[in-house]
Amino acid sequence: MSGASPSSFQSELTTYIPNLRAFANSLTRRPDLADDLVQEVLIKAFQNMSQFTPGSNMKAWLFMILRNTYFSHLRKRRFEIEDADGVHADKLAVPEAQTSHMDMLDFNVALSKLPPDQREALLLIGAEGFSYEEAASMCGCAVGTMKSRVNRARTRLAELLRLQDETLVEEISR
Amino acid sequence: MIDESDKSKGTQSASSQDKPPAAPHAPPLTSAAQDLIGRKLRETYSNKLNEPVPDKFNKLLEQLAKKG
Repeated sequence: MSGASPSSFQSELTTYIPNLRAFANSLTRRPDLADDLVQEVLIKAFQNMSQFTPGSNMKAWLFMILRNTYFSHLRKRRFEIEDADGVHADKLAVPEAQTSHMDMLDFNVALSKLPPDQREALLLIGAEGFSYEEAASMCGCAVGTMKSRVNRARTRLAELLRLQDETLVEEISR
Repeated sequence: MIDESDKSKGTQSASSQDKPPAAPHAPPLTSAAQDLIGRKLRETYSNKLNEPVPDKFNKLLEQLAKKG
């Protein structure tokens, strides 16, 4: 019989809930949806417990389930995506003249304007600290594709936050 | 698994062509800018990471553990 004991599986699973919530929150930009997705992940994790090899990377396994669940959710709402992630984000956008560049709000708005696959890549690598290989494996893409997405995400954020101006960056960094 | 993720050029073409009406050539990402982005990203992320986990999650886990 393979598989960990259910109670050790459960206790290890519990330790990753904060990370799953943080990733889902930053990925979806919608705290209620994020928590719903994490709950779905917990359910799926239990349903697929026998497929998890004890001692292997549970965090990566859970994150893969989470991102697959999210993207499947996006595909189902395909025609609403542009509205949910585009128009909604634009409504939150602060007019240029009033922008104080590195307010948390601006950063979150900018993050929400990235295409989901770029945002995901940036979060996995930059926020969670997965390796490119782990992230690529989770997302079912090549390592090169993952690197490219992270680079595009950073470049796009820099554009949105107008960080090309070096003096501005120095000012904000103080 | 649907392998649409590798057709990134197709799905991203809208965003990569959608440059803001600023300088005609975007300067390379400076390391200062990259550091700043990294810092803000981790700040945002850790705010959520450090929140106490709502009860509903532990309750769900207990229900799931009973069924299995």
